[in-house]
Amino acid sequence: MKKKFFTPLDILIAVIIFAICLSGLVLTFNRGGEKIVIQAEGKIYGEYDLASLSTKSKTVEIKTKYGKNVLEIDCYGADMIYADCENQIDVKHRKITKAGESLVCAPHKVVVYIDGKGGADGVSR
Amino acid sequence: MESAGEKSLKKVARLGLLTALAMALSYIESFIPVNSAVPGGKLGLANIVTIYVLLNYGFSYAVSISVIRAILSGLLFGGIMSIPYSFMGAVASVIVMTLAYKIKGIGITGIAILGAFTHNLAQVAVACVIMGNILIMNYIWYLGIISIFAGTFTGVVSIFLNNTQRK
Repeated sequence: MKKKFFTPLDILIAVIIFAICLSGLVLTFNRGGEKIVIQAEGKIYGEYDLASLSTKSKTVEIKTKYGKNVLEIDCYGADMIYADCENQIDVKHRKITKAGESLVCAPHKVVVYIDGKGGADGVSR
Repeated sequence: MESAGEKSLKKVARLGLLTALAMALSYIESFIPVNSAVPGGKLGLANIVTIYVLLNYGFSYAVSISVIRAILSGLLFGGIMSIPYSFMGAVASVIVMTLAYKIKGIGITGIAILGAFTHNLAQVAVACVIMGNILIMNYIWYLGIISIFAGTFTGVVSIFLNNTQRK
């Protein structure tokens, strides 16, 4: 039996998933961040208040037993510039600047994310 | 006339070939530079085989083929660390695709989109657990949109396959 490429229900499914994801993107990423948190192997590796960083970027080395990552941070956000892992997904990922955004290096179990809730200023905002 | 034994031998051989094809496709996929355009994104070519098996041989064969493929390609190309991700992704997506197949009105493209989306959802969930950070869940919004396009692609290819195969 020949099958049609799209049934009405298929298009409905695509539209629903698209709508959910788009609203999710807008809701989660449309907030300003407070601090950059580096997490490695489930533990906090380092925290940097965005306010305390300058416009000139500085690099942070993240060493785990799985390998090395180099992160570039400034007062706008964080960007992974080097990782000695295979897939390089975190390096290709664009710079993260908003609360809730994250850079993930799965092979090294490293997560870098921007926290919007932390810090004293988070309450007053 | 084929005996029942011959028939099942044929089936085993054919499913073995399909598993090999799925593995080859997931290897070939690593050469297609979707990954550099959208980090973490891929077409999910191996899902074409999963859908084919699901439509022609049923749920249990589709699950076993995609699980075997996930483990073997993990060992061969992706590294052992990648196995929990692809394993959970494969199992979850086959379950959802089977359920979707049972619902009247959902076509192959819809099944493929749901499969791609579930695959991503399961992988992001595994990442949350492995790395102990719930924020990673935010990736699903971004990967979900990509999965609509990837799912449409694999779905349309599957329909071509379905419409052209000799019975």
